[in-house]
Amino acid sequence: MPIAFKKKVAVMTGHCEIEEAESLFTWLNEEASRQVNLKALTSAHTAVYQVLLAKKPKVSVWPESENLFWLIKIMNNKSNVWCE
Amino acid sequence: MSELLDVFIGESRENLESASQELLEIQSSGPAPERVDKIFRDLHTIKGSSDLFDIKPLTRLAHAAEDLLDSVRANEVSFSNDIGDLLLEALDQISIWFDELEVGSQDLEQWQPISVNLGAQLRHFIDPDASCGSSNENEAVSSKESSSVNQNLTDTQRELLADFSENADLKLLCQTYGPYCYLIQYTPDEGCFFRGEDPVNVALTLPGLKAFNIAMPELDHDADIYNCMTRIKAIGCADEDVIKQHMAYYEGQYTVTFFSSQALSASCASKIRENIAQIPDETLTDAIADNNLEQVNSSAGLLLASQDFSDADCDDAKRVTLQFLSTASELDFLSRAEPSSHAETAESASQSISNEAFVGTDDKASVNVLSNADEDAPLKSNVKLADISARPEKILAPHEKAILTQQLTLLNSDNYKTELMFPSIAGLVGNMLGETFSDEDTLAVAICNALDDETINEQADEIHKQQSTEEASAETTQQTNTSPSTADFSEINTVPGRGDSPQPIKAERQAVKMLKVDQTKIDYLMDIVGELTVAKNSLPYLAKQAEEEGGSRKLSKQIKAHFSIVNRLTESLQSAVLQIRMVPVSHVFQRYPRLIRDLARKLDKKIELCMQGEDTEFDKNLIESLSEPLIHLLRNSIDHGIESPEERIEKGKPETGRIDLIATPLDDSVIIEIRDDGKGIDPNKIKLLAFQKGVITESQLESIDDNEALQLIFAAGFSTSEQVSDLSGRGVGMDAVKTMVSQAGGTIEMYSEVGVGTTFKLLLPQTMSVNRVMMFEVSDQMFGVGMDAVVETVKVPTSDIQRIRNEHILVIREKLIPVCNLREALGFEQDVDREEQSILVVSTPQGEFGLIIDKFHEGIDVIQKPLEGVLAGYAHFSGTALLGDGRVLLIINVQEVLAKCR
Repeated sequence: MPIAFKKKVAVMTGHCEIEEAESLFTWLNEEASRQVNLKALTSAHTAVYQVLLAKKPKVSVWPESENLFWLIKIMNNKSNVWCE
Repeated sequence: MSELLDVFIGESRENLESASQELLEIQSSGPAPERVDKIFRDLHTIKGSSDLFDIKPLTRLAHAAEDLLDSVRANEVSFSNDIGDLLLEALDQISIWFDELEVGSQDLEQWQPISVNLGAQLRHFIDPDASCGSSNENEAVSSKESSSVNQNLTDTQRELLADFSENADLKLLCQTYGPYCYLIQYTPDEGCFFRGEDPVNVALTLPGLKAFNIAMPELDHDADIYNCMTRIKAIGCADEDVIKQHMAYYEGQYTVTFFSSQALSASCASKIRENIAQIPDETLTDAIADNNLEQVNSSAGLLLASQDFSDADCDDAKRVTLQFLSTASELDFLSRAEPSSHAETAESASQSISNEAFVGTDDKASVNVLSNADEDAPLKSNVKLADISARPEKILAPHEKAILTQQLTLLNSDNYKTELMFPSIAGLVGNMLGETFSDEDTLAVAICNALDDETINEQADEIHKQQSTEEASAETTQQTNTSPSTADFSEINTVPGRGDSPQPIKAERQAVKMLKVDQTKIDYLMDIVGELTVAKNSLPYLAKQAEEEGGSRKLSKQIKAHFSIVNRLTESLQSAVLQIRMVPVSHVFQRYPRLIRDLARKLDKKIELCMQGEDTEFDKNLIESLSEPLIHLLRNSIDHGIESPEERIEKGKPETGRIDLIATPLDDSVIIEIRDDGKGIDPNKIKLLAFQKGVITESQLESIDDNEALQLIFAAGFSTSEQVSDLSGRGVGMDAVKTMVSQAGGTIEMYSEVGVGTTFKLLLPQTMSVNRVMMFEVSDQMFGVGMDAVVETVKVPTSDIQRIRNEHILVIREKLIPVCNLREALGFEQDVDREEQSILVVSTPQGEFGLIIDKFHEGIDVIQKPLEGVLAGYAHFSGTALLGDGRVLLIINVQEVLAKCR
């Protein structure tokens, strides 16, 4: 599973397909304090990003993947992302 | 042409055909959701696969059609005949392009306007207003491209940039490479996920992407997260084509505007000037004044490295400006616009940018520009001189001190790159000292001497050595550091690795149900099966030989037993292969509704086509050879058979003419009938015309009956195009039709009744590869005749054959049958008188005939090969076949032989 739902943290790994979006969304909705661990996340479908950006859950570990630098910025409320 | 393209065209043609089929259905019986769906899918497939090739106009047109159908499907647009016609036109256009692609004569330049035009028309249906806008926009873009793209940003573009983020223009300018930039607003449809689209990743992979933002509304707990709510804006540098290509699938969901980087820099010029004015660094301003690019780059770089941007509001802008200056490759645009001497308001300033007549800043800034920045110095060097002399301070200002200190830090820093930075540092220091100390020249010389090339190089080498040792040590430490971390990684990776493994299986679940095979392969298989059939036929001979020569009945029996097994297997193999080649006649029939609709419209007639037995199966080769003659016949029926609606009403017929196209299987053959309820053909007219044309003689003119007269239209030399109009019936190349049909091994007949209608009846063999022939012997030689022609075999006493005038006649069951002696016809010696004669009765279109032969043999399956080479001229043989024992069997052409006989 690309997303492992622990007690408080959802650990997202690799590429998260569109199917994951729903479970992630419901899981985050269940309790406001739930967090996500994006350490090993490499990419995801728009629907998954949509959940992350709309819910803006607390992130326990930011992604290591350089491809996701933008996600960090946007989730930290930076509206514009400039590619360096 | 590549194999892939071949496959693509083949498949897409099928899609096109089925799409137009459905469209016609919709037009005749009203829109049904599943039909729209089907057309949508067809077009979607064409569009998708066409993207594999560099045929953008086609892709775009298919896309536009697909979008329109999508709207129809969603009930946003109601289907009208106009839409149907336009879609058909689009399909035709695509089909024409396929033709061109197939022969490799495509000209994308020519395609482009057609595609744009048709696409716009299609999109007009989706949204009349928007499509106007977008087409205008497109035009604007393209016209801009040609003329004004180099000039300026439009107001909208500037607004969009400002809207994107503060200083977006400057930031973009910093990173610009290439001549064109774009700003795209990508608002995916809510339902786009269901089409498999992934907008964010599409945006992330935009070519030359520089920056983007993603707008996302808050989602309620019960929101449907499979509705796409994301809105993306992005800017970057890339050509129009590249972007359009990237976004080809998402047409209608995005707007994009393009501008040249020159226009961007022109519009940024005032902003840059303003910011420079606020940066109190004389080296920089001087360098800009001198238009000394290198100097500007380096000092801006230095300032950027040293400046600490923590205080003011416009920091960001300043920083970006410096960033831009540190990398700028030309600064001409800054001086191109003349500074305005008039004080202008900020608003008018922005206007003046577009005019480019002069660039305005507010008064304070313009004062600053003149007194401090001097970027227009190339034009006004005297001003600069005056400026320098007017400079008040002669001691180092605090910021100058700071800068000098920074230089020192820089020289010692790790990032220090001699070649790039040293000249600028030297220049900076030199300028500062030069301004502080009046004796500029000596100072400069002293500095230059002190730091001549040699020293620079030495320094560089030293630094290099230092760096490389540093790097080496860094590497070793890194290695030691990474080894545990890679271990960590592999641990992390193996876990998802296991989890990932079901994914490929998921992808494979759509297993291939249909197999597309090159037809030549099937043909080859068919040939081999044919050979096998022939080879199998040799087994009975072998059995016979074993019995007669080897004297072993047992062996003979065993061979015969084996033969029956081999025979059975070969037969099932053969029918299996034949089955592969069988396709329903609908394969050909489905093209006709369109043909008829088009022709009927052209001729202002109302015609209904009724098809029956479309699922009758047929050999693929045969069907394809049939298509042409059938079109011919249908066209004739429409053109000459069916009357105009007024005429029909006058005659008391229903207004709408009817053409029946019926396929019926009959044993191993298929009958195809084309029936119309038109005016029919007058046999008398045909007779007269045939006589005039010299097809029949005067005596025939009198003796010929109506049915025979009708068949005359198939005679070679009867029809030419002029006759069509006065014949008021058919006549265009009917002999060509007949030739084609008989080449396919079939026959054609025609019945007609004046005022009631005409029927063409084609009798065609279901397959053409294996024929069953009846063997017989004449003068110790084996011959064959097609089993279809054989009516019966009889043995009669010679005395029963009577002679009436100069023809031999036999009466069988009170029926007169003309008899022909094959020995005579084939040029063998006359046989000695026999008491009994073997007669093979065959049927021909002219009736039944008897052939006198020597001996009957069994029927056999053969693969008939046409006569080739020197034998090709002998019309009384229709072909040859190889027998099991290696002999060649000549198959006689009954009609030709009979013609000789008489």
